[in-house]
Amino acid sequence: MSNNNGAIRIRMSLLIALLAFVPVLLIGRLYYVQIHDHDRYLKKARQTYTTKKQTSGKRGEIFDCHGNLLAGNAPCVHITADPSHFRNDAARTKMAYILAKHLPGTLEEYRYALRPVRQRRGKDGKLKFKADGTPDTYTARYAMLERNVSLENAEKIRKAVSVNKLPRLYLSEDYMRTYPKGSMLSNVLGYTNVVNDEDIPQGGLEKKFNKTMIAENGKEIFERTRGGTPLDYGLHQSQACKDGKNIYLTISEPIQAILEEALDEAYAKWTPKTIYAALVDPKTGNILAMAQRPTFNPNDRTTFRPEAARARIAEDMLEPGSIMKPFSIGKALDWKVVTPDTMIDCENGKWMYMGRPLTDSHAYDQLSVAQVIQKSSNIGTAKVALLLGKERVYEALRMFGFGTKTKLPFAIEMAGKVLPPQRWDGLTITRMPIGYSVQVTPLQMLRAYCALANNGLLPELRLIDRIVDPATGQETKFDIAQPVQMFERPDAHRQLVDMMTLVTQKGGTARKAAIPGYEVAGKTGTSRKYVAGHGYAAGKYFASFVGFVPARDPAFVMLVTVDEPKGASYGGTVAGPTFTKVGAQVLKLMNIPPDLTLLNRE
Amino acid sequence: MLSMPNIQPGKGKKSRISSPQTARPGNRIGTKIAIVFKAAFFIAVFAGIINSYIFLNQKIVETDRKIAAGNKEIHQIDREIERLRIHRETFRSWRHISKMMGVFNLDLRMPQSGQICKLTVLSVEQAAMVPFAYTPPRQVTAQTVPVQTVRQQPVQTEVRPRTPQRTAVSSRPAVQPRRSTVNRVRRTREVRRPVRPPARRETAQTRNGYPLFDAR
Repeated sequence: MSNNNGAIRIRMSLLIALLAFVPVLLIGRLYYVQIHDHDRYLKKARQTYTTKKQTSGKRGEIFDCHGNLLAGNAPCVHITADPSHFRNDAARTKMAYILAKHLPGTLEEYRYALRPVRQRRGKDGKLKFKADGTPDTYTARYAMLERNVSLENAEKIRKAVSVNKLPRLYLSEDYMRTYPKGSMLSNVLGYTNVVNDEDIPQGGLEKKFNKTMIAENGKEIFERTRGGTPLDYGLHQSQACKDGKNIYLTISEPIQAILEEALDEAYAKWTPKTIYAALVDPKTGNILAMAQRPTFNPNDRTTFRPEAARARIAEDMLEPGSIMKPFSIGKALDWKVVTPDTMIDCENGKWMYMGRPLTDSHAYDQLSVAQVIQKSSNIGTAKVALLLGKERVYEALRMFGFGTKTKLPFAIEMAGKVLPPQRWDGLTITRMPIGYSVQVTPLQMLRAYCALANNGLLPELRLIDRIVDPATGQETKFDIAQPVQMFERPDAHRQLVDMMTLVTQKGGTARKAAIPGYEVAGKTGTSRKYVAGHGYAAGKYFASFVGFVPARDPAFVMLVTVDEPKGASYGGTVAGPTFTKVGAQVLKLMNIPPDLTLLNRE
Repeated sequence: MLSMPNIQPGKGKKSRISSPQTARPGNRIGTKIAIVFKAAFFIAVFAGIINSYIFLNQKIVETDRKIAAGNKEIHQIDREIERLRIHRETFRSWRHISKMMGVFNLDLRMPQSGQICKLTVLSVEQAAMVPFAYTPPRQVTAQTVPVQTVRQQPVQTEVRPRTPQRTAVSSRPAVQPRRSTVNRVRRTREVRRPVRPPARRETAQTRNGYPLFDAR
């Protein structure tokens, strides 16, 4: 009996020990999981329910001086799909039909993009085959169907897919660089291409200010529920994305629109190789408008042509012709070498100098210096330059900024070519003041004319007014540089402006550039085109007009240059009417009233 | 054991300590029920707390979901606003406007400079501060409530045939209003006339600086 009791006691003890051991084991395991290996398991668990999300900011936008948008970001959607869900041919066709209905691709293209089984390609791009000669295939899990789909179309597609109960598409949000004003200012703005989901600037301000406008991506790490909702009490780290900075130009969109419309008309009328024009506020140097033809629409890549993409106004160098004359004559007046009434013998239109002829478009015998400007006499200007001497002619041209870059933010800007007197031949002194043997950019010419319009003060040109951080509103202002006085005697400047107003009056070369009710000071230019290796080409001209209005207190300086116009060649005939058309509208826009005495006289 | 009769006076009865031994059988059951009730009460409170905790947690999760959905909706609306802004800018481009002028055959032209009326744009607060007959100097602010006009004297540059003004065809009302009502209406009209905004065609430019148009 006692033996039995002992055995039972032992068994009971063993059972109790065993029962006690299991909790100890569990407690041990619990300790191991919860305390010893806590971090490892926590990390592992967090990996499962922690999400990393990359947020992308918007690229900086470009505005005109009034805040009108010139380059912005349109929200769009990229559509992708998992082709393995489209094994059913009917579903694939149906989906392709829906896509083709709302997107630019065709039904066949989308059907092909959605094919679930594909053949592998090698690194060389060639299709791969198995050893037995059958195609080496795989099941595709990703297909990019369309990029940059508008929100409306994406919504229509989403609804159609839902109604037809088709396998779902993946719509990922993004922004697309867009230019709401189309081709307006496109040569200056440039454009961007998308490479690996990033905007890569291809020219213009987009490229020059890429670092300023580029957005900083953000990062968000958070613990989430199964549905993807962030957990309130979980980990939540976020680094906010930062939008790029916005750029405000000195360009005024209304004036730009007026200029572009006028250029379109002139381009259609004269069918030139190129035509470009710009308006500048002479007091501040602000570029108000700047346009060229041919141009392109950055939203439509089919309009892209290499010759249209360049900003010719900064990149092209040309021999400007007679629009150069006021500078040497102006300085001759300033240095008291001549007066407006000094008579110059214009040799009846043909003058032999150093064995080479110099001609005028019309034969003149004796002209005063004022008439030399009014009639645009080459011989008269050359003779004034001879009176000045080559050192002073060179000094005069350099003073007005020829041969120096304007430092405007163009990807490429030419400095022009003004040879120093040491490299001149005997003829250069008679050619340079009339705009030959010298190369300038249209921007340099505009800057120089700003000095004539602004009481002799030469301003620095400005295209960027300010840069604004959209997050903080912080502005970085581009200051207006202190202008430099070009004339020692204010009288000389006044006399020169008086002479230039004669150009658009009766007897002048640019009657067609006159604006009723306003006094226009300007100068025409018709220069023959130099073709490398062939000399001056017959029948190829640059026809230009530069002027400012109202002459006594100018609101703007405008340059119009037409490269190889057909049907006429004179600057006054070809470029003058464009100046008038644009000038009249801009003056009305600026609300500058006409001079009643001038109106009555006319 | 026989129970002893309680010989103590009624006053002392209450001060006696009751025990299962001393309590009557009815009292013992009452105590047990009290214990059960107490336990049940504590369990109920505990369950209530747990329930409330679960209920609140559920509410938090639901609210979180709603917030997430709301945020998503806000995000979508933001994107939609962005899209509309781009559309608006496209429609405001001169190319589009001139095209539409052609489509609707609008014979518009640029005004002479003397015909221009400038809108003075003031905020609501600024507008409230402007005395009735006072014409403020030209001032353009970001806010947009046109309240006053400044008309310049027109420069007589050319004589144009006056466009016949459209007037409402006057017809005698079926029921003649009472005299006092008519007077009141007239008075109101007289008062309101000076601050009537100018016709749209008289402005030289739109608020964002677009030009108004040349005849073509």
